[in-house]
Amino acid sequence: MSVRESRIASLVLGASAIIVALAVLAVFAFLFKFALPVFTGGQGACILSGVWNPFKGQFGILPMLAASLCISLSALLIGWPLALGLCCCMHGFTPRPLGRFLSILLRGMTAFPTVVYGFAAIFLLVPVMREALGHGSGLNWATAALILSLVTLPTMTLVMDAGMHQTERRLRLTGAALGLNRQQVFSHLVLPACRSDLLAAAALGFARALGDTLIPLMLAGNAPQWPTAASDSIRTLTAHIGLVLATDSSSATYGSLFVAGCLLLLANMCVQLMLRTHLRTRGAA
Amino acid sequence: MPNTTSDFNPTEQETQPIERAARLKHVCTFFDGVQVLHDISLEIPAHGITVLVGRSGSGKTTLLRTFNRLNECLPGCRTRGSIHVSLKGQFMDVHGPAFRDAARLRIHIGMVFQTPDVLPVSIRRNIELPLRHALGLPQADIDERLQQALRESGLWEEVSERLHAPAETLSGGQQQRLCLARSLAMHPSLLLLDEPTASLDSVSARTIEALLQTLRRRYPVVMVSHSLGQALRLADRLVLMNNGRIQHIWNRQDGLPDAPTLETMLEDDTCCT
Repeated sequence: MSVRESRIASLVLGASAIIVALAVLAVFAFLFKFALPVFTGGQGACILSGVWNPFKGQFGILPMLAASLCISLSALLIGWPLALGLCCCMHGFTPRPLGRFLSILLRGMTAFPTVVYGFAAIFLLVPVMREALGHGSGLNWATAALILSLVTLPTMTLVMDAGMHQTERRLRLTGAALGLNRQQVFSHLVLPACRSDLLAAAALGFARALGDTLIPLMLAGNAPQWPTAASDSIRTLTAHIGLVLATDSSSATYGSLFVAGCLLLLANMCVQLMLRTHLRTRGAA
Repeated sequence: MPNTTSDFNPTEQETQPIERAARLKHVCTFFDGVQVLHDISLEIPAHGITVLVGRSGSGKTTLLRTFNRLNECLPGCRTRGSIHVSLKGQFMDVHGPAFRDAARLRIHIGMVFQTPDVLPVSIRRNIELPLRHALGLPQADIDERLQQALRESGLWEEVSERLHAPAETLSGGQQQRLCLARSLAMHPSLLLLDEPTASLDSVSARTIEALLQTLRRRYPVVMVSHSLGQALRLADRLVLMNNGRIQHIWNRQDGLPDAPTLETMLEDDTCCT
């Protein structure tokens, strides 16, 4: 690459980075600008309370924040170990044809629309959950978390796999020359070296689950209450935004959406910052 | 599970007294159908250093990797012919039933690569890891071998105080000696070195060479080198390769060629036809 081409490439890349950063800042600015009047208009304490009852003027969205966090964390707790297991399968713990089949299947799964998972779950999983729990409609925290773990599974697996693939390529010959078989190379060398990829996959999976709207909307039951048990019907912030946007455009209920958006962004930012801090601390240690 | 060797098949061993570390007979290697090694027959003496020299692409590294079947880790590789290596007093067919899993063979054959390939763990773990997981040794034996190998490679004085430091914090020369120590700790029956000084400065290269001079008495060594000076300094047996074929073999007791002659032979494309 000539000096001129290199300079043009730097400019284009720099401009792209600035545009993306500005777009993210614009989203933040937009949300804060519209969320601010909710607080300054005297609704502030009310919006951050624990009761949602618009007919009585109670617009507390904290139960929905808790529901979002609970569903995302439980989807992560189910999906992350599964993703790790699938990666192990694709890296030598099962016969190669099965590993290849899994890889193709997971790549295909990324293209499935989320609504298909939700629709299938209503007919396949919800009746099972209803029977298993013995009460309720089957639309609850557990059902939504199970399907969300399935939705986030390909993303997490492919992020892990990409990191592991590079690391395995780097260490495979060395490990083999030391008399380690493929499974030993993977478990004793590749996995520890891919710690950051495993964490990145968890962060991405969490963010994906936290931001998903359709699955909680279709499967979590949408009752705006504190989550206390896996069989509870709950409403997440994203489902709340979806439901209110469909029916309202000016009331105090509508105002709560901007606060909900801000909380979602902040929750995601906190997770990403925690991850980066952890990785930096590990790198420095 | 550690790769133990208790299932050596005695029917495969040869009963004659062993004076050689390895023997190749009519070995041909192909990558994706393209022949890289042509009918190689070669004996590696039980003592001393055998140095493979030749131009880039002449098949030296591929030949080196036939001894521990490392070529099989690369896609599209197929090897034909007979390869026997002396392992713990038995002359074994490396493609025999005892080595269906090539990892069982590789625990007996140490290898050091061109660029220092330390594992992304501490200095201690670099040596400990294959001893624990490939050989299945208990901690007491591991500690003993670790110290012995680091002393043999002349690294003990430099790293004994910081065994828990990441191996990447060592200098290039130290890293290469750590790789050598890692191989020596396995008590190999054969040591393979693929241009071990190619990525090092002249001082570090001399240190490794001095180390090899002492190791030649204890281990049979097969080494690839691009430095003719180094090859002539170290070789007990010098093998000149060209286009995947052995062009010439010299033994030190019969006299090695001088550097200009060797250089001329290397530059001559037609000499092996």
